[in-house]
Order: sequence, then C-alpha cells, then structure tokens
Amino acid sequence: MSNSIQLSNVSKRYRTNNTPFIALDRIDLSLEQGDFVSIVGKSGSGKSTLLNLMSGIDQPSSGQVIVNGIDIAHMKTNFLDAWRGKNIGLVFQFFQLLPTLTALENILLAMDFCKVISAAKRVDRARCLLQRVGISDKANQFPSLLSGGEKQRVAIARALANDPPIILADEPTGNLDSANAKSIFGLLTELNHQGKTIVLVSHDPDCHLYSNRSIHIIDGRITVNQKNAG
Amino acid sequence: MFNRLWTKTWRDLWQNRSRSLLVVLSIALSTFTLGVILNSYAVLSREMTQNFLRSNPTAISFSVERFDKDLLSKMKNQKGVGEVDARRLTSGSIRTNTGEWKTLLLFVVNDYNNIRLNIIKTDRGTWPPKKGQILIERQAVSVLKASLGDTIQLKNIYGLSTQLTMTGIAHDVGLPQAEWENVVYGYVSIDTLNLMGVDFYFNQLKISFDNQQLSESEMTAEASNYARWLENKGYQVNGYKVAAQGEHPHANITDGMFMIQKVFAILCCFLSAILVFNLMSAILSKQLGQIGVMKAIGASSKQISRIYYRGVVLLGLLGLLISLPCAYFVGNLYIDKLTLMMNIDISSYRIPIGIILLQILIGIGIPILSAYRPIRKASQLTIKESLLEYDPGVDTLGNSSFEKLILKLDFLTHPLRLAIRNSIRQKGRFILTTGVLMIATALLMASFNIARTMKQVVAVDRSAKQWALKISFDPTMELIDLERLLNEMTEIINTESFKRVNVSLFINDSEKISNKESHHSHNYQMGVVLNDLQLNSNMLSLPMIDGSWLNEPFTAELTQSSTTISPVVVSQLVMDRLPRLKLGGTIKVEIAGQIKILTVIGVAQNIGYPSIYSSELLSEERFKSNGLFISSNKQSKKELNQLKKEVISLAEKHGLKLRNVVTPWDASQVVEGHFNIIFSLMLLLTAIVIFIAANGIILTMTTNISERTRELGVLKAIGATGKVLASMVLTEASLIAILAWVFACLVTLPISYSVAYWLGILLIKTPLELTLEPIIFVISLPAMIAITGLASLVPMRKIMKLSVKNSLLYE
Repeated sequence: MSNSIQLSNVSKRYRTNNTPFIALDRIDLSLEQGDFVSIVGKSGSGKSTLLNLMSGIDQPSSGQVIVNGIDIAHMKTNFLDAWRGKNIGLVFQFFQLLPTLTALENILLAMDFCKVISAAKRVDRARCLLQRVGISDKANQFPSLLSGGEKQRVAIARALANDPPIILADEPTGNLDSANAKSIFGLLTELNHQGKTIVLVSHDPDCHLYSNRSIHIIDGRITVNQKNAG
Repeated sequence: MFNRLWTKTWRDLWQNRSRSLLVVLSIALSTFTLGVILNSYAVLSREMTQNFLRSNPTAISFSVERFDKDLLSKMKNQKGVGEVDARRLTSGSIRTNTGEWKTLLLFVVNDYNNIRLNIIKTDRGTWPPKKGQILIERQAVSVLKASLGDTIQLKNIYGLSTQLTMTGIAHDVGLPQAEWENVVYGYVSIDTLNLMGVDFYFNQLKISFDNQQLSESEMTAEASNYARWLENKGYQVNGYKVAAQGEHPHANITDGMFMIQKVFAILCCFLSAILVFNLMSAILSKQLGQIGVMKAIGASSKQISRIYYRGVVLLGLLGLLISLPCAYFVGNLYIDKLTLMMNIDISSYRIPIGIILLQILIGIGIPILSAYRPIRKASQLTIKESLLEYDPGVDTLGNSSFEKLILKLDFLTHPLRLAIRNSIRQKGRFILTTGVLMIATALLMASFNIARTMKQVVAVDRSAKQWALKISFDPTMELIDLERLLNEMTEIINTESFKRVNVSLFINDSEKISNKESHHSHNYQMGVVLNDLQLNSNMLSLPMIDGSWLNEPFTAELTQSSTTISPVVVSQLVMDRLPRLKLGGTIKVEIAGQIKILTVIGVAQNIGYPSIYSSELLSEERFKSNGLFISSNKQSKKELNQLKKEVISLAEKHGLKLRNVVTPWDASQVVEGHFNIIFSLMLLLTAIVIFIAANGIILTMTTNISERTRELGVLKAIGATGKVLASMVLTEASLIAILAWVFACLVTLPISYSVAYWLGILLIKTPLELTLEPIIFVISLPAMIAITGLASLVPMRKIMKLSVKNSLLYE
C-alpha cells in the first residue's frame, strides 16, 4: 500500500501573549491508504492541530505534510481549497451545515464547488449519499429541523460528496448521545471497509474499537502509535 | 451550480430580511433621488433648448432710444444679419385682483402675426390684442391673479391710469420668471399704447445671425460693430445684450440649481454605500464560520466572493426595481413643476437611454464597490480564521487611547459602561454609522444656518433702507405738491427727494488702447441704475463691502485730487461686471447722452439691481427729481403696507400720478422668494439624508444585537431585565447621536460657510456673510437623540422579547 498521509518532523508553534506554545513537537507519522486511525488525547494535547495539518487547514511551523504524494504545507491557499474539496472529506464536531440550505443542497453545494461530479449526476448522487447514511427522507429539511445524529449524517454525506479517498473527522460524536455516536462510528467503519482512509479525532474511549490503529498524543508528542488487534 | 449558489445568496438575504430591506430602501432612495434629478435635468435641458430654438431666439438685443420700422430693413441689409425684429418695451404698474400694484413690463409688437424673433405665441383667448385689450404672459397670470375677461387697471410710465380688458394669455419663452421677479408681462397693440397716453416708437432692436455657428466672442465683436453703425446713423444705443447661441437664458440658473441637487444626490449614494458596507460587513462577520466550512469542502475565495457579490447585486436590483419607476413618475411631476417655473412646454418626457443605464450602473455599481472590501476580506480569510470566527474588533478592544479612556469611565453604572464599550467593539461600523449621522446633522444645521444667513442678508438690506416708502413719479409732476400733502400726514416724519436714472456703463473702455481689436471698445452693459441722493442724505445706510459711504471721509487711495472727482459708491453687482475695477479707480458712464467719469470710493452690498450711488451729481436743471423717500414712525410690514395704501389713495385723490410706491419689504420680496425656494430644497434633501442615516442606525443596532444575542442571553441569565437591556441599546444609540452632534457642530461650519459663499456669488455676486442659527445647534441634539431612539425601537423590541433559552442557543 502507498503512503496516504506522511508527516515528517512536523512542529507547530504558537505565540500567545508573547509566550511561546508548542502544540505539536517534531511529529513523524505515516498513514497507509485504507487505514482507520483514531487519535486520542486530552483537550489541548494537539490532536485537532494534527488533523488540521493533515487537511491543510493549518500550516506547520516546520516539517513536511505529504498527502497522496503532494506537499500540502507549501501549496497556495486557493489551490489547497480546491485540492481539499476533491481529496479530503471533513466532518466536524458541530456539524457545520449551512443553515440556509437543505440537507440535499448542503451536499450539492460541495459538488458544485469542486465540479468533480458532472452537473447532471449531482442530484442523484446526493440522494444516493443520503440514502447511504440512512436519512433519504430528510433530503429537503433545513438543518435546524434535524436532530444532532441526523445533522452529522448529512455532514458525513457531504464529506463524501466528491468521493474523496480520505475522511478526516474531528470529534464527530462529541455532540451526540451514545446511540447516535455508535451509529456514526458504524458508518465510518463501513466507509473504511469501502476503501476510504479515515482519521478520527475523538475523546470517546471506545473509538479504538472501530479503528485499526490508535495514536495517543500528550503535550504535542505522539506517545502511542500502535495497530489495534483485529 | 447556478441554483445552489443563488439559493444560498437569496436565503442569506432573506434570513437578514429586515436589514436587507433597509439597505434596499436606502439604495432605492438614493438612486431615486439621483434618478429624479438626472431624469428631470435631461428632459428639461433638452426641452428648454428646443422650446427656445422654436421661438427663433434673438442673438443680439439692442436697447435703442427710439426708432421706427425703417431701421429694420436697413439693419436687415447689414452683412451677416439674419432676421430682424423690433419691440417697444415700456414700464408702468398694474393693479392685481387683490388690489395690490405690481410692476408692469408692457410689450408692443408691430405685427403680432408676423413676429420674426423671440416668437410670442397665444396660449388662450384672443390673438392678436385689439384696441383696449391686453394679453398677459401665462407665467404672470398668477402674479396678477386675474382671469380672462377681467377689466384690469394700469398706470403708464407717467402714472396715467387706464382700464384694459384681459382677453388673452400669451406664451413668451425666455422671459425671467414672473413670480420670482414679482412683475407682470403684458402685450398690447400700438392703438392701445396710444390709448394709454404713451407715444409709440420702438426701443428694442433684435437681430439674429446668418451664421448660427458664431462663438460668443465673435458675436460680441459683431454686436459692437452694429452698435457703432447704429450710432453713426444717429441712433442712441443705450446698450446691447449678446445671447449664447441656442442657450436658454435660464440655462445657467437651471444648471446651478441642478448642480446643488446633484451634489446632494451623490452624497445620498455615498451614504447608501456606507450602509451597504455596514450590512455586508455584518452579514459576513456572522457568516465567517460558513465561509470556513465552504472552504473546507472545496470552495475557492472567488467562488465565495461570487456568492456575496450576487447578494449585493440582488440588493441593488431590488433597489432599482423600486427607484427606476418611481424616479420616472416623480421626475415627471418635478418636470411639470419646473416647466411652469421655466415657462416652457414639454413635447416629450422621453429619458435618454444613457441616463437610465447610468442609474442602473450606479444602483448596482455603488453597492458592489462598497461591498468590495468586506467581501474580499472575508473571502481571503483562511479556514482556521473563519472557523474561529475571527473578530478583530473584540480582539483589539482597549488598545487605543480613546478606548482606554472609555474603559476608565468606572464611575458610570455597569449597564451604561457596557453599553459604551459595546458601541466601540465594532469600531469600523461605529465610525461609519456615526459619520453618516454626523453628515445628516451637519447638513441639517447648515440648512438652518443658510436660512438664517439669507434672512440676515434680507434684514440687513431692509435695515439699510432708512426710508419707510420709496415713491417714483414722473419728473414732470410737481414734487412740492406731493411733499406738502405727505407732510400733512401724521405718520410721516420726513421726505427727501432723489434722482434715479438708467445709465450706460462702459465695461471695457480701458481696452481701447491696449486691445488690438479696437471694435471692442464700445461695449455697453444694460440696466445699471444711478441713484443721485441729496447731500448728507441718511435715507440709505448700505452695508459696505469696501471703502466708505458718500458722506464719510474717503479712505480709498484715489488716482486724482479729491476736489476734482465725482465720488460714487457702486454696488457689488457693478463690481462683478467690471472685474478690473479697484477701489479708488474710475468708471465711465453715459448719462442721457453725456459721458461722465466717476470715481469709486466705496463698494456697497445691495441685493437689487446693479446700482451706482452719488451725492448731488446730477445738479443740472435737466435732471429733475423723480423719486421721494419717506421716513415714518411706522415700522412693521403691516403698518407700512397700510401707509403705502394711504399715500397712493391720497395722491390719486389730488390728481398726483405716482409711478410706483414700495416698502422695504416689497423691495426684497424677489430675493426673499429665491431664498425660500433654496431653503425648502435644502431642507428636503437634508430630510432624505436623515432618512438614510436613520436606516443606518437601525441597521447598526439590529446588527449589534444580533451579533451579541448569546451575550445578551447570558446577561439575562444573570439577572438583567429586558428593560435594562433595552436601555443599553438606547444608550448606544444616544452615544452615536451625541458624538455625531459634537462632530457635526464642527463640520457644519465649513459646509455652511462654503454654501453661503457660493450662494452669495450665484445670487448677489458677493459672498453671503455667514450667520449661524444658534437654536439649531441646541435643537439638533435632542432631535438626533430622538431620531436614533426611534430608529432603535425595532432592535429594542427584539431585545425585550428575547428569551434566555433562545439567545443561548442562537447561532
């Protein structure tokens, strides 16, 4: 398998009130295509920063971030945005659906931006994705009328809109009850079985049950990076 | 692609519909104002020119002392002359249906059915006027307040009374506005003129050129040649007037009036642009999270920009949808109103397509330009900045010295302190909102300052007239009889006679030697009046712009010995016509065929005709007194009008024929009328600006509240009542009003000064001395607080209804 995501000697430093703060310290990490990786750690440990570096949302202070063979740390913002839309599906803790668009339109918008899917096929694909995440009956509902679990399913469907090989999920169950959380984990596992690389940041102690590799971060450093027992 | 992005755009605007509506209204109002002005200007300037050209306008109008028809054919044979025509112009007075006497300018045309130049047309009634009949120019009907068939009483130039029947209404395009001038224009036949006891002869010679392409200087040169030719033929030329080819005589007034309106309209557009800027900044600051998400799912900065630009275009289009038809219909009403004033007929209300396109361009272009910065700023933010809802206003609060000062105001109550701090959280928005209100307040103050200044100018002019009544009469009348009669009246303190003659002023005699084009040496200017007062007369006390009055010691540096000169004071209107004239210099005038050199020892301000004032200059026997000043113990307008009636009636009773009797109020009526129109126009335009500013306040306050909904929820949760929160909103609004007022007090000074300066130059050829209206400075503060308070009612209601649960869940 080819390296899907590779971080070499990556550090991220911040400066708050003239005090330096190291969010990530010389991280080396290599993820394979088809991996399901869970990243755990305490609040402020650097796990979200790590995810943001992988998606290009944030830039490293030093080191290299190579995703599918492309060094995204030095990519121009506009190219990076377009590249991300095609290659990475993002799932957020607070769903981040656009409130003035329906569930279906939220998915279509992602396709409209990237133009990977031909215009004629977009609506069918969006409906198909909603069916895949189990909420095809909510296609024309606005986010405000959906439950938390439903919102996150729409968000996952949106992340799949352009059929990206990698899904990065930042605390996708952090705002859900346990039943919904379990369901979302199940959905991500299913996607992983279909060949998607999943990187999951979570506080949920059970997340390692779904992933095939676990990474623990403490104070910006990877302390555990191990394959989970099948 | 098209659908989703448009859907988002449309729904975002709908979600912010109250604020969007305010911006649409502001765009609509500003483009409407601009549209009304541009439409009416385009139609009026076209129609004025067409009307004027249809009348076959005169190129040069000579004022010749006396001539007959023979001169017309001789003139026609002159090289370059196109058409030739003649008129008799005489003055008198006419009694209105309300019993008032007004100045009458009476025209006699040789053949009403064959007018060659400045064609007069029938509007209604009989045509041409027969013996015993008078036609009234249609604009002057309202001054005369008479109807067709009425018997009208007139007095000729010698005061002789006649009764004529008003049988028709004429249309004579190009005459000064009758109501403004407070005169009546009449047309009679030669027979009627004779019936009125006035000899017939022509005194106005009108010509046009074969070549319609002559420049004004070429026309002036030709006019000078013809004037010399007339003089060589033995005619006395009192002056001539050269008209700009094809340009309506009112064109400069219309242009000046529209210029002021255009400035206001552009200001309205600018203020609307600020509103759009504020709205887009507010919408975008609320949507930073969404922008971050859109970027996260692959949107480029350009794609995001397009979503918001579409919104701005939509707002502009909605505004135009309201403003374009409204501007068309209101513009037509405005045109109709101005048509009456300009005395023209409108053949078509068609608006040039370029003007409509310009309005569309402005209606869409200005919002796009004003939204450029906030959209660019928001779309360029990185995902991280967007998702963290980056708020520069909050991050930097307390950095500037002003903010530090605000933060130190710890003697205030906590809600008050919070309200003040909240106001400056979004500094850009706060500054712009305050700026818009400041401009509105400054304009309001300026309008009233100008009104006060204009009132003051009129008041100074009235108080300069130490007389209560000014009587003009034919020099053949026995003055001693009139004085004896008047001195018997108890209300009259004193009488003093004077001589008033029309003189010809040489405007460029000095060029006679230096100018190679010697034919330029005989340029006259019409309409300068010389008032020869008695020695040490104190009937006039005009405000001096420069130098000294007649009975004061000379302060001017004279070019000749003071014993040999003929000292005169000239009005600023004379100085305007002689730009090279300096105090102590001389002017050359022709008085009844005699050339006199007069030395200017002072320049006085007079809002009437261009005048020269002298003291016993016309001592020769042939110059007899033709005017009488009367001083009285009566002061008020009402009392003086009553006195005027009594004097007229007394003179009539004793067979004394007075030409005209005026009070100081009558003398300033025309200028006062002009001033009132200007004030009304300024006030109307200021009201529009205030409306836009009030929209800005509503927009800012609702935006501030909607951005702080969660924070307000927290305040409620810790015990703040709806009333306390509403009072915080009111405090914020009042703070804006107070700051706007403070700055407006300063900004209004240069605005008022500039408007006073230019209005003075435009109307009376000298800058108006600015007089501030102190009351408006006092009243405008509570007025602005009231306006901002009213504008805050909507957000205050919203805040009162806010529940803790909803506000804490607010996204």
